[in-house]
Amino acid sequence: MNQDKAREFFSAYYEDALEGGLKQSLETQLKTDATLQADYVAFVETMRDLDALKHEEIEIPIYLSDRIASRLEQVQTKPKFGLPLWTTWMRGAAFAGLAVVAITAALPMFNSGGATANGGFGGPGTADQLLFKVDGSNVVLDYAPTSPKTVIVTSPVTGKELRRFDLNGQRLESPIENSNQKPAVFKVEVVGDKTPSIVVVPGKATTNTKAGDGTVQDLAVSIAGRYHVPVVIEAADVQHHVTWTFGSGDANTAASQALENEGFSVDQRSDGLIKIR
Amino acid sequence: MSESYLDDQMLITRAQTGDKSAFNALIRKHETRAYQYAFRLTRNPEEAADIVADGFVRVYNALHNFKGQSAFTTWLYRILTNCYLDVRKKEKNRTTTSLESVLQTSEGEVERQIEDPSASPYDDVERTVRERSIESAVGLLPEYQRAMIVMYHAETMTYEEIAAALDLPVGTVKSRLNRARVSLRELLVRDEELFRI
Repeated sequence: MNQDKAREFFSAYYEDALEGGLKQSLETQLKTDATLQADYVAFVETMRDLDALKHEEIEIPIYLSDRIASRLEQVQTKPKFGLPLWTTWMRGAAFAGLAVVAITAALPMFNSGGATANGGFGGPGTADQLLFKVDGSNVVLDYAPTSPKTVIVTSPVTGKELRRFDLNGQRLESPIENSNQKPAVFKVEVVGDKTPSIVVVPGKATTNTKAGDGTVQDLAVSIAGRYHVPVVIEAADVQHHVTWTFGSGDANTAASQALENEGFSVDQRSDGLIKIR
Repeated sequence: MSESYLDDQMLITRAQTGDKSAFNALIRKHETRAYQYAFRLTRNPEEAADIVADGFVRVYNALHNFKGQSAFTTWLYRILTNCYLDVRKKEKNRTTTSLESVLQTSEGEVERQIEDPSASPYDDVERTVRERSIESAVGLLPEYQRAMIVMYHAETMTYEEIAAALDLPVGTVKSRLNRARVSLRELLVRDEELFRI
């Protein structure tokens, strides 16, 4: 066994994993070859030094979570990825340290059952008509169908069904809440109806977005983020492409200007909700 | 099967069905360990954070393909290692700038300022020369050997786990690790000789 060959067995010998014949052969070599012996002594020292690697304390940079969320968000802007409002939520939550809670809270919280008190929103919903009302920064869904209906709430971002309600004479009245920093988007549809509603609920923070381009749904997210108002889209073509520049006006003005000559109508109710049709 | 392995499997299964909170939890659970690994490979906080961020993007893109045949951490190490190797490959293809070069400004030529990212002497007071030497020596190893050394000695992964992460036979991992250790020994001996002069 020459020196180079002997060195190939250093690790196995150190770990006592060398089989009988080879072990004996290496030990003989070590006894007779002073250079090899010195090499092995240095090797053992190196192995001990390497053990120190696992004790090294590495400080985690405070921007790490945000860096991850930002990178995922960049992926989101590419057309081939459909997902991530979730990454937006996560990014906001990264600062607050509340990611899991925040995402959970971004899902709509529903109560369904018999007739319920209306909490001062001006009476029960009109029969067979989906109503969206404002309660603080949340949106309340109010629906009292006269015939059996199914309401499905999905995330238009992920396509995942979030809630399904089979209503048979009951009234559905429930808040759609978002406790995150950025706006959250929900699609609410009554099975059998032609056009679903897109509901954008503002987050806790406002954004400084001044201009952009994208779909009507993207515009609604930008308006909800900048002006902190809920937006409901009741139009078939939410993927229609528009550009926008927000001036010094209010949310209604911003939405109206962006959708001027685009075949949509905009109005803002007294409770602040912006409706795009 | 460890509890953490089961937790990962549960989170992955949920994330694969579009559960955002599960994916988020998966990131939160592994980002620290991922960063430590990336930092040990690069010794550079910015670069390490970029590698981790890119790694999780790759996880996100490929999550639907993850069948659970290996532990999530093993898969994550493989992805992070690939991200690291990609960064190194790009760096090698990039043109270099001489330390002696000058910048042309409107006020004439200015010497290029090169920031030294290493720790100050004061930061190093409590660390032994030996520890610094071994970290430096690891940094001089070829990328693949460096990854193996970090996995085994810093991340305390077994040979089998490293083999799974790098998609290599266990025997190859053992022989390459031995070669890396022998190389390290030579680098450290050279370092010691320099100190003696």
